[in-house]
Amino acid sequence: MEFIIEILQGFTAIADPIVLGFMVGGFFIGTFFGAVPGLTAVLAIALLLPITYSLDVVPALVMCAAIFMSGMYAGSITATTINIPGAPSSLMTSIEGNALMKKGHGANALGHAALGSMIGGVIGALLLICFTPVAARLSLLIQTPGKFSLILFALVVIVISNRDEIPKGSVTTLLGIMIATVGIDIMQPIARFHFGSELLVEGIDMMPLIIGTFAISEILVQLGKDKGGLTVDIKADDIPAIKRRDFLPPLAEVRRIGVWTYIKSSVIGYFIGILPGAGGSVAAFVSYAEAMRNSKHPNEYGKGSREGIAAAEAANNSMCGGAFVPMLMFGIPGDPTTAVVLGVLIINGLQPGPRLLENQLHLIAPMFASLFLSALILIPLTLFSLGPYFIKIVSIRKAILYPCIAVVALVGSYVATYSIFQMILALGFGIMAYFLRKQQYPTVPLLLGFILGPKLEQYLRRSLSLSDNNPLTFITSPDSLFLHCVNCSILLLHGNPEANRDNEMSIEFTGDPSVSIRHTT
Amino acid sequence: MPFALFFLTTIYLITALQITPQVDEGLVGPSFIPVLASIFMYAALGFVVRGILNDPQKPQNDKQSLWVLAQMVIVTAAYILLFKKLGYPLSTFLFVYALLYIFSLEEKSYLKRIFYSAGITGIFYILYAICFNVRLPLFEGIS
Repeated sequence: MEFIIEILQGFTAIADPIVLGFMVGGFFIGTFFGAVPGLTAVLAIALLLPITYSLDVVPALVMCAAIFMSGMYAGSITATTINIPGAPSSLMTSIEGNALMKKGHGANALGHAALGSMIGGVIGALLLICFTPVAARLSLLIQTPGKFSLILFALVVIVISNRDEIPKGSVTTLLGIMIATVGIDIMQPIARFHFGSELLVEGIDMMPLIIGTFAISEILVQLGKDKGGLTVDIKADDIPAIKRRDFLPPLAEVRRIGVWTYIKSSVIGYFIGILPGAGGSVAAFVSYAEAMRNSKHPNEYGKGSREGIAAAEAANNSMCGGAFVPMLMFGIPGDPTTAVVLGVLIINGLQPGPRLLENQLHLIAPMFASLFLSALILIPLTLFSLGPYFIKIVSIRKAILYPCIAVVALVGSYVATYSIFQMILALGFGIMAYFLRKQQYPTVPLLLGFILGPKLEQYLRRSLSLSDNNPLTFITSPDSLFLHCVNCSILLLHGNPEANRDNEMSIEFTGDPSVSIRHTT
Repeated sequence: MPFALFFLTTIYLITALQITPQVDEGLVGPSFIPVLASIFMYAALGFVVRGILNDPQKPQNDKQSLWVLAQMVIVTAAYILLFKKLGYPLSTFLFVYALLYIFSLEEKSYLKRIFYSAGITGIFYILYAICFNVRLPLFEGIS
C-alpha cells in the first residue's frame, strides 16, 4: 500500500511546474534527437548528463525518462515519412509506414505508430510499477555468488545480442571491462594501470566514456558523410501533405489489428527490455515477427501493414519500462539509454538495489510517472501539434548542428568536474569509438562492459573470499547454479544453428528505398 | 584494428602481471580479472582475425578523408588545450568558427560564419552559465 501511495505521490511531483517543464522539455529534446537520423535518445541523455550535476535528482530523472520514451517513438516519424528510421528500433516501422506513405496514407501510418507507442509505453510503465516490488524481493534472495552469476549472465546476453558480430561484440565488451580496471583496485588500496599518471590513479569516469563514445564519435562519423547538407535531405514540398484529421486511426482499423496484438507486443517488448543489451530494435523485430506469424493478413506485411506498425511500435516503447527493472534493482542496464540513466543515479549518490525502493522511492516514483505520462499524453499531443511540421523541424543543416553538439559534448565533459583531463579523455574515447565503428565493432557493449566489469570483479572476489577460495561456491549456491544453467542454456541454444533457423525472419534491403522480407517457418 | 587492440592488450597484460597485491587473496587478486580479460581478448581477436581472413573482400565504403578527420581532431585538441587559457567565450568562438569551416558552411561567406560562431557561443554560454549556474572560465586569471 505504501508503495502505491509513493507512486501516486510521484505523479503529484510532476505537477510541480519546474518538474513538468523538464518533462516536456525532455520530451521535445528526445523527439528531435529520435527523429533526426544519426542522432539518438542515448546521445541526447549523454549530452545532458553533465547538466544533471547542477540539477535536483527528480527533474533530472524525469527528463531522462521523457527523453527515453520520446526517442523511441520519434524514430517512427522519419521512418514513415522518408523511409529513414530515425532510430534503429524504427526499422520495422519504416518498412510498413513508408509503404503506407507512398499510398497516400502517411498521416494514418503516423497515427498508428503513435497509438502503438502510446499503448506500449503505458503498458510498459504499468508493468514496471507492478513488477518493481517483485523484482526488489527477488533481488534480496540473490547472494554474492548469485550476483556474480547474474552479471556474467548479463555480459553473455550483451555479447550474443550482437548476433552477426559476436567476436566483435566480445572485443568491445572486454575493452570496456579493461578500461574500468584503471584506477584504485576495488578490494585493496593499490592503483592499477595508472602508468605513472596521478590523474589515472583516480580511475576513469563514466562521463568522458559516454560523451566520447556516443557524441564525439558521431561527429567524426558525420564528417565523412554529406557534411554540408541537411539532416533530412528531402524538400518538405516533395512529401505529400499531412493533415491533422487523418492522424486519428479509424476504430475499424484498430479493431482489425486487435487489442491482443497491442497487449502481446507490449508484453514481449517489456520482457525483452529486461534482457541486458537487447534494446528497442530487438523488441520491435521480435514482436513484429510474432505479429506476422499469427496474423490473419500476413500478405499485407511489407506492403503497408498497420498491424506491423502497431506491433513494432508497441514493443519498442514498452521496452522502455522493462529496461529500468534490471537497472534499478541490480545496477544492470537493459540498454544504452538506461546505462546513461544509471550514470545520473550514481552522480546523484543513489545506489541501485532493493534499498532504493525502500528508502528513496520518492525520488524514483516521479520517473515512473514521467514514463507513463510521456506515453499517455505527450506522444499523441506532440503528433497532433507538430505532426504536419515534423520534417521541417528535423531538417537542420549539419554544419550548424554538429558544431553545437561538439560544444555541448566538450564543455559538458568539463563542467562535470571542472577538469581539462576529462575533455582529453572524451576526445580520446571519441577517436577510439570512431575507429571501432568504422570497422563495424558495436560500441554499446563497450559502455555496458565498463559498467558491469567492476561489479563482476567485486562479486567474484567477494564470493571467493567468503568461501575460503572455494570456486564450488558458484555451484553450491542455488541462485548461482540456476543462473549458470540459464547461461549454459542460452549459449547452447545460440550455438545450435538448427534452433536458430526455426522461424527465421530476415529483412533484405534491395536498394533504396525498396525492402523485401523473407519469412520462413 | 585487431592488431592495435592486440598491441594494447599485450601492454595491459604485462602491466597486470606486474601488479603486486598488498594482501594475499589466494587465487583471485587485483590482477586476476585483468589477466582473464586479456586472455579472452586474445581469443576474441583471434576469432575476429579469422573472420577477416575468411571474408577478405568485404565491401569497404569508407570514403572519409583522413585529412578531414585529422583537422577535426587537431582543432578539438587545440580547443581543449586553450579552453582555460583563452576562456570559454574566445576559445569556443574560434572552435565553432573552425568547425563551421570544416563542415563546409558557406565557404565564401566569412561574415555568416562569424555570425553563427558568435550565436552558438552565446547560446551555450547562456545555457551553462546563466540557466545552470556553471562556472565557465572567462580568461586565464579571470573566472
